[in-house]
Amino acid sequence: MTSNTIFNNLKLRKTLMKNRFIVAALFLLAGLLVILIPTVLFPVCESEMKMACYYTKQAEIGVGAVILLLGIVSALFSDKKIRAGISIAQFFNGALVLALPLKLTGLCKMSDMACKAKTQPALIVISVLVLVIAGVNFGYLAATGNKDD
Amino acid sequence: MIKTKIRSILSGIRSRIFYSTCLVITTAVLSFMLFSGSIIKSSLDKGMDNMDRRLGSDIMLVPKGSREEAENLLLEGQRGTFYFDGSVDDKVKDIEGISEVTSQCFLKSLSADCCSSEVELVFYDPDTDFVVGPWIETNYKSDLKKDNVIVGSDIVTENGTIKLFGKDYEVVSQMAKTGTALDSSVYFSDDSMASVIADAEEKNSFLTEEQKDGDILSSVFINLKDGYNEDDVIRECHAKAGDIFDVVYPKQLNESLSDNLLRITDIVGAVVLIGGILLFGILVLINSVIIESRKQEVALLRVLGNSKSKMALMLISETGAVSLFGSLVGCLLGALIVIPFGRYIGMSLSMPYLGPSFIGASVQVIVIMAIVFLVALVSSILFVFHVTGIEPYLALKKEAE
Repeated sequence: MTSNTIFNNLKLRKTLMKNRFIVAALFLLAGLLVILIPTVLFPVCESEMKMACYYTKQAEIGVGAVILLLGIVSALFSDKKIRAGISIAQFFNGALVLALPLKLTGLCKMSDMACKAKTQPALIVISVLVLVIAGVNFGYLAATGNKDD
Repeated sequence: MIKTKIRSILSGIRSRIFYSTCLVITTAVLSFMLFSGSIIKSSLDKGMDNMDRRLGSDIMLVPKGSREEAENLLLEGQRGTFYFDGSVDDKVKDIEGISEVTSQCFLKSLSADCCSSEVELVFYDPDTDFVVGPWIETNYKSDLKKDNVIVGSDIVTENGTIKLFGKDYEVVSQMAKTGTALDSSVYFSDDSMASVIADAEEKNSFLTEEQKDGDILSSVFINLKDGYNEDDVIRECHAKAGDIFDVVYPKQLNESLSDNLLRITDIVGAVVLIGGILLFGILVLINSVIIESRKQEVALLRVLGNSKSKMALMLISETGAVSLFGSLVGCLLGALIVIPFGRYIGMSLSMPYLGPSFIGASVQVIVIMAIVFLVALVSSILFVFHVTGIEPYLALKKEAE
């Protein structure tokens, strides 16, 4: 192995290492936001009765926690195949964040309710970001070959 | 050939990754600002146009003390629960100078919360109506029967029916989108009022004594004949119906709203203009650094037989490719934030807001990408001519020194 190749390998390892922690931090932040959006930042409608948006909030807290934990897990593993697998899982988690308010559990039907006017758009934004981060990271890991960092 | 050109453009961008990233960020911010600004402006304009059509009467009589609520109804579509005697419209309809009279009754939040009631109910008289009619998107042939309803554009129906207080109603038509809370209303003929209230009582929905009474109206819309004075007609209305109502002038409201819109669009325009000028300055700076740093490379390539125009095209292609990419990123970010949050923006500004269609937004993206592309070219063109215009010998000599 020439010194040039060793230097290039070291450079790639450093980049991959950086990527590992940056992506883990992004997932962690995204997971935290998925939890905070329906509860604190753009809370769903307040009512004594449990409505559709209440169940969406509960489900989003669960999915957000999974995104956050997978973010932490992805920082612990240097194996690129594991991290690529985690990215795939995060991609589907992002899709779930989107599907919950739009299709699965739904929100209130009146367009001027807090959950519809604020929580839903915020969840759309964060879910798209999770989808993009997971997709780009998977593409990046696939493109950089089999080297672990 | 094209592949080689694309590869050479990409390698040129990659070799100056820091400055290229700066260029992408600057064009993305510029596009984000332009896209968001233009979408907000066009949505407010569209909302305002709809508003013009919605304020379909010369004067509106509402119960005494509820003028503010009634104005909210006109501006934001938020319905209130204000009532007066159900015979007011009959008392005023024969007054001289009045050409049309129609009345409506609103029932707001019959249940305790948003999700179980889901909608606001409006009872109107289809025979005399001139307010709801212009908003009906699809015509229905028969009369509005007791078990028929017309729904707002946001109402989701199941197999052409809607269930309210345990009873199914056939949806005969849907209203056009207004961008206000009117989109989540259900419209009944006034003949259905008694039975709907009975159903609501049966389902233990909260009803006030007035609502249970049934013989109530929320507002009377009046159009005047040409040449008649509003004040004279209102005086006559007071004489006939008593001092039980306040008067709302929809057209005056419209004017004040137009002023607000003008102020908002002025602010948006000023922010976009100032931001645009600043970003243009940054673009000029970045392009000066990128292109000036390539003097020697350009000189070498010219020594190897490339023409001036070919070199200029190469530099412009790189700037163009980077700015187009940045512009696309900016527009997509703008779309991701401004389009889903449209309703919230309208509510925060207290203005009718009607978001763009998919085609409308796509056209905006293309137009803004073209504008940003041109701006990026203009900001780089002087440097391109300067760098390609230098004699290769001089440029290389300067490097050697």
